[in-house]
Amino acid sequence: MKVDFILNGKNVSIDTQPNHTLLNVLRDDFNLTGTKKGCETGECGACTVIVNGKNVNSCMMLIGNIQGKEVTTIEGLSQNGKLHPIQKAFVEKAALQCGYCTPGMIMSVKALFDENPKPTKEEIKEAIAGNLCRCTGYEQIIEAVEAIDWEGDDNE
Amino acid sequence: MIMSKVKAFRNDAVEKVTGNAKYSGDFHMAGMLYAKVLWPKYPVAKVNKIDISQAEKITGIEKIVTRKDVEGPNLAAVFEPYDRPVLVGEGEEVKFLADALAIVVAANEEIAQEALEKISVEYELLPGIFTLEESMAENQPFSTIGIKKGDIEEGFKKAEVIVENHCTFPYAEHSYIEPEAGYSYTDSQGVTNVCYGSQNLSRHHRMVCKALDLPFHKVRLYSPYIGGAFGGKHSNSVQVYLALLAQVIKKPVKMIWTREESFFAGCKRHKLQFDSKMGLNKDGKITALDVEILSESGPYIGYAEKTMAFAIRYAFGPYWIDNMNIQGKIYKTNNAEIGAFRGFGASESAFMIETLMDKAAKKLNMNPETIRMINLVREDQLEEHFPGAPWKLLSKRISIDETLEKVYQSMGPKPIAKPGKKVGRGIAICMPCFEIGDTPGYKGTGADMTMFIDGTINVRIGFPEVGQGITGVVTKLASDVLDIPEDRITIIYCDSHTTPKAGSLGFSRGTVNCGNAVLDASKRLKNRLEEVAKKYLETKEYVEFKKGDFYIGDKLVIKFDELMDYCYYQGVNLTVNGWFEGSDPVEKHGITFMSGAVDVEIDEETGELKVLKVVNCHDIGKAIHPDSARGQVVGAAVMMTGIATLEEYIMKDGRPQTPSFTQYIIPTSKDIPEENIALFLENPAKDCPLGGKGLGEHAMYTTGPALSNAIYDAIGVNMTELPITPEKILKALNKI
Repeated sequence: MKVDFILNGKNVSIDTQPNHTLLNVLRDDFNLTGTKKGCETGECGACTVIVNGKNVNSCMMLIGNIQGKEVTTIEGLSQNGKLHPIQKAFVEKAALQCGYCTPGMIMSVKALFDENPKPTKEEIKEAIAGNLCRCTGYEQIIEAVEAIDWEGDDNE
Repeated sequence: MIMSKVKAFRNDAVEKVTGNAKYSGDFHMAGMLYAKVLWPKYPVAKVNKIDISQAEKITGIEKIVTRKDVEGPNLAAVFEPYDRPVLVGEGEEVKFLADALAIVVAANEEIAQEALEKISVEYELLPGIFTLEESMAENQPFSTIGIKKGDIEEGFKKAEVIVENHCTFPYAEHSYIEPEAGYSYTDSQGVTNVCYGSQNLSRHHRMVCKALDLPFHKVRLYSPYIGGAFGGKHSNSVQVYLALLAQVIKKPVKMIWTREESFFAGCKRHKLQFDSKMGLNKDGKITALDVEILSESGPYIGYAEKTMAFAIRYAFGPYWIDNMNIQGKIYKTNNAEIGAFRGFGASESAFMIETLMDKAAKKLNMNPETIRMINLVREDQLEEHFPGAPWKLLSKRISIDETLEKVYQSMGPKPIAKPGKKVGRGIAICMPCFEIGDTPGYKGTGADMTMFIDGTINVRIGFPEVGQGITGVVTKLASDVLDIPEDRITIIYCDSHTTPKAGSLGFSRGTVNCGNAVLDASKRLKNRLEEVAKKYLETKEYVEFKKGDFYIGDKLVIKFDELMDYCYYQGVNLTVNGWFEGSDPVEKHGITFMSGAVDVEIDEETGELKVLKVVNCHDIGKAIHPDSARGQVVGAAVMMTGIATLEEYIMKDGRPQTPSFTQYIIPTSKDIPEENIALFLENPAKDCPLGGKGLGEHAMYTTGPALSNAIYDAIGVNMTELPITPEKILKALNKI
């Protein structure tokens, strides 16, 4: 089946099988391996991407559901060679270890701020509760999210 | 990417936040095939026939590899003698659900899956052993180890108070977010290349080559970034299968385990139970300690003996005890394979002895801190304290008291209970002797370093980057010695054919071993540059390489580029080999002194347990990379909170009952303590890089027993069977 959608700001078209998930298509057809495969059952959040403004587990979304929609992956976050403020906060505030959950975690944080520019600590915890991390204990991740510098020099 | 305004905390961070960091499952080669393993339907059975004829006919099937394709002994394990078959063939027996029968190689995953379902296997079911009790009734222990000291009976005669406890630790799952994955191919020299996540490359290399009877130079194993390990990537997973496939099909092939495969075919945290009895006199001095530890291994021994040895060695904690009898027995079952898991038997021992100490304190009406300090080993007793484990005290003193003081300061006053709730505070002190230096199996660690003619550097180390930040530590050390910016250093790591010897990435040993080897390499390189500069200047004075140029005293004598041009045209070798090994083959560095405390809140009606605050303070010598060090401690504190209160990998009749993240629950961001604090005491340790002793599993020791002790303080019940669930709390309170 043919599916047209917007991927990281560009119009794309893919001819694929209807049983393929968005995760498979991103990784296998577009070589966007920043979106990670962790469980393929929607439990770990490593494959989180943003579809029409909402964070979703791309492993749980069949490609047919993406027709005409707008998909943002971790690769689409940094613009013009500059890190997105969320990425910058993670890098500077030590919010990662092995890094495997990091892309999905960042996408969930992005979806949070797109809806709620001033989240409380509890809202941050809630927003990333679907993204499992076994390394950090979430401590430095939450701190980084609280410390995102939206007005920083790098963000113009 | 313009990064000038980004101050990365570590050199792997930018790649990891942009999605550019590659893990074992992220690579693709032209013509790459997909492999899936056929696992047995029954955990224990004789395999009479494996019929692949129907499956082979499916379009898109490259090959179905079976036992017949294996040349060589077909036995693989981490430790010798190797006891686990690579593939089980017709006429042979499967002994657990992770005994592979065949590997399907197909054009893609769907075709491979379809073929798996078309393979018909005839089984003859055999009786299995699925519980410790069954194994004890039918078998002698596979292995018995222990230590004795003094006269245990005399010790108990002297006791005025006796306390006992029963501790159980279920199987636990490492739950790294990256499941086991990798790919392999045979290159134009006929070398089989296998890329996968490994914490123990040198042992794996030996295992793969021996199992398949391949010359070592024809098998290259290497690891890219690893998406978490926690001990679980010491054991066998995809590497032998991938090496076999490269040999048989000679085409690139990948294998990515599903989460379910990762759960049931991957190794597990050892299932242990302790029955302990301690005698004390009325002053609180321990007179005797009697401990029996029972362990359940899978059908193959895996890490069961090694973890038991550590459980025994540290069962007496940081206390001087004249009379002890500590015995461990391992019984085989047809359940899961036992692997290494952060804490490695010793953290379970810490849980046992520290919860027993609080029981004793209560019985003697003593303060938990006082009873500990009365029994704490003295510096002059240390040599005898670790029988069978020669040690070397690299720190100036036993600093447990200092760590505990810092913990108390940070804890502040005990919180006041809300209506209907009880609060409690628990402490724990520990003193594990990590094998962070040389051990007999892993003597010597190398680090190779090349300076290019623009002054940039590439370092090669044998340890992998599992998230702990070894690449950050290496960069920092090389940068410090050579006085060059960190962004001028790149690292190649964990490759059997290009990086030097390293050994096991365990026991929190990476920093000491690799760090010292990198320091050695950095000093050698600096020395070589200075010698060349001296020759170039034809001077006898000391020429120092600093701030990127060459100086005699404070006077700049050669600009860097000038000397590099000289090196280039003279063909000066700017590659050096750093090396570190202890002076004694059994010397083990790094006794780490540590304390932890936990505050909990319990609802006595529902049994609900809330961890309010966790504070850990560890004397790690020096926090070389403070952000990474803190991450190790707060991360392990949450992992241990999960293991203590949530996690239980349940097996029934050899089958996993919890093979997913909805059944096996690990902490999410909503399950973490309200406060989670990591403190460090930095008493520089001798012979360690910048004085740092290494760090990784430390908070696994202190957090668990402090949590249990906090519950004991709050509601007066001793909870020592993990995980401590609301149901168990209510049962202990006789509410259900």
